[in-house]
Amino acid sequence: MKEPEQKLVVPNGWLEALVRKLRVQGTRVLAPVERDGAVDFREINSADEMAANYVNTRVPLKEILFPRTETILEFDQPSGGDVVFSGVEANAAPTIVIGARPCDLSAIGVLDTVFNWDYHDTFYGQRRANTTFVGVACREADGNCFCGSVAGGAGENEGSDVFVRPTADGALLEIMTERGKKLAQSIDDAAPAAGKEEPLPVAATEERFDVEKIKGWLDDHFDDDFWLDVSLKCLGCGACSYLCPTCHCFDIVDESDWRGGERRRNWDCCSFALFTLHTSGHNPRPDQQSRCRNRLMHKFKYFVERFGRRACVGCGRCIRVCGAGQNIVNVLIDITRAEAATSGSA
Amino acid sequence: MKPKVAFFDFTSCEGCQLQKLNCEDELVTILSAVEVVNFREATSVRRDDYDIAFVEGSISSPTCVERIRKIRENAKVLVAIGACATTGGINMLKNFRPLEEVREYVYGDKAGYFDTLPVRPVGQVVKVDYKIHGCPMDKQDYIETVTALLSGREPRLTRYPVCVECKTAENPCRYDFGEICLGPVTRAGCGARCPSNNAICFGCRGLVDDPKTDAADDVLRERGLSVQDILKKYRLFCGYAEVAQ
Repeated sequence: MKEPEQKLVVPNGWLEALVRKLRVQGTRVLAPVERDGAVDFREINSADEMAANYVNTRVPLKEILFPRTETILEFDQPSGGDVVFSGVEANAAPTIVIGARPCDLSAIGVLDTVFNWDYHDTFYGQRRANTTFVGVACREADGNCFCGSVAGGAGENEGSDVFVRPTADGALLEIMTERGKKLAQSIDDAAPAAGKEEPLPVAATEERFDVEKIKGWLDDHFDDDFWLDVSLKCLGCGACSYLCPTCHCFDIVDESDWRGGERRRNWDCCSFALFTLHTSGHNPRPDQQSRCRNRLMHKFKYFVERFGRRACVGCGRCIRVCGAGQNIVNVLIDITRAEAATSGSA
Repeated sequence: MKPKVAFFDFTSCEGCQLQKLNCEDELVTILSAVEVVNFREATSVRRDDYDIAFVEGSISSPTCVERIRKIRENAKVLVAIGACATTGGINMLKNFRPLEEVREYVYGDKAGYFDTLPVRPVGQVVKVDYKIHGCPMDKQDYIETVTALLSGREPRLTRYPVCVECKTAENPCRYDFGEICLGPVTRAGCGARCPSNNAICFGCRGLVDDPKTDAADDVLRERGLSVQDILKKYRLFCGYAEVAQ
C-alpha cells in the first residue's frame, strides 16, 4: 500500500459526470463492458455501458499497452532497387482506463520493468505515458483469485493513478501520481477527504500459501520429477500466457511477399515448442516438462533475481481459462509443502 | 526467369486445386511471378519441365505410385497439398477394412479391372519438401508457402495445437458444450475455423508434432468421456496416426 499524494471525497454520480466530461473533450475512455457473456475493456461513451458486476475482465489490462499484434516497421523493395524501410508510429491516443483491478495494475509494474530494462520500448512507452489508470478496489473475488497470497490484495492502490474506494454514498479517491492529479481536475464535486470516510469492505482473499517459501524450493529443484507431473496436465495451448497480465514475451515476424511487407510483433508463449527452437535445430527446452518449469521459474525465481519482484499477481485467469484444469495455486501449494518437508528433514 | 510450376492430383476430390483458383485477389500477382506448365483443372498446357510440383491427393494404386515417382524425378521441389496428400486424409478410412471388400463395394463386378493398394500419404512414397495441411488446404497457408518459396525463405509451419488459435479467437471451448473436439491435438494454422463457427475441430490438419496426449486424456476424463470416444473421431482424418489404429 502506498501513501496517496492526495485524498478526495466524491458523491454518487461522480463517475457518470467524469465520463461525460472526458467524452465531450474527445478523450478515449476504456472500461469493462459485458458483451456475449464476457467482460473486457472497451471504449465507452457513457458510464451506463460499464459492466455492473465483474470480478475481473477476461483479457488483462496489458493488452491496452502491449497489443497482441502490432506493426513495428514497414519495408518495400521497388523492383531492382534497394530495400526502403519506414518507421511506424505507435497508436498512443491519450486514454483514461476506468475500473481496472489491483492485480492487473500491479502487473503493469512488471511490464514497466521489462519494457524499460535495457532498451526503452517506444511503442509501449508512448502508450504508457498517455494512459491514465483509474483502479478500483474489489468488493468481490472468486475462488480463483489469489492476490492475497502473492500480491497486495483486493485493496492495493499501487500502480493506479487514481484509486477508487467505494463508500456508502460515493467514493474515496486516492490520487497517486501526477497523471492522477491531472485527471482529478476533471472531477466535479470533489472535496478533500476529512479522514473519517469509511470505504466499503474489500473482498477477502486469504493467504493460501506462503509465497516466501517458493523461491527457496525452486532454487534447489531445477531437475525434479515434480515438473513432469505438472507438465502432464498441459495442452500447450498458450491460453495461460496470453491471458496472464504479466506475461510479456513476444515474437517478431515479417509478413511479406517478394516485394515488401511489414514487421510485426505478436504475443508469444514459452509453452510452445517453437519458442526456444534454435536455427540449428537444437531446442534447449525440448519437452513440455522443461517449458512448464520455465514458466513457473520465470515468475517466481528468475524475475525475482533479476528485478526484485515476482511476475505473478494472483489474478487467477490462468486457472479460469485452462481447458485441462491446471491450477497454479495447487502447484504453488504443492511446492510450499515440498519445501516444508525438505526443511523439516534438514 | 520465372519459376515453372505444375499441379497434379491423385486420390482426392480436387477441392484443394479449386482453393487455388479461389485465390481470386492474389491470382494475378501469383501468375505474374510464376509460369504454370501443367494444371489439368485450369490450362491445356502439359509440360514436364517444372521446378515446383504441387501435389494433391493420396497414393492408393500402383498407377499412382508410378506417376508420383515420375513427378518426384522431374520436380526440384515437391509440395504436398491438402489432407489427402499430407496425412492420407479421409481416404485412409479404406485401410480399416479388407481391401477386396472395399474394391467390390466401389466397383461391383468390375472390381477386377482396378488394382488397389492401402492408402498412403504422398510423403510415404516419395520425399516431400513442404506440406500445406487441411481439408481443403487453407488459402492463406498456400499463399504463405508460395510467397516463401518465391522469396527464398522457409515457409512457416505452425507447430502448436488448434487450441492456441481458438483461444486467440476468443471462442468458448467445445468441451464446455459436452462435445469432443480434436483441437487439443491437431496442428493449427487454420485460424480455428471450425470452432469459430460453432463446430468441433475434426483434425483435418493432422496431429500436431508433439501432441500432449496426457493432458488431452485428462480433458476427456474430467468430462466423463473415454479415449474410445475420441478415437472414432481421429479416424476420419488421422487414420495414419498410431493411436487411431
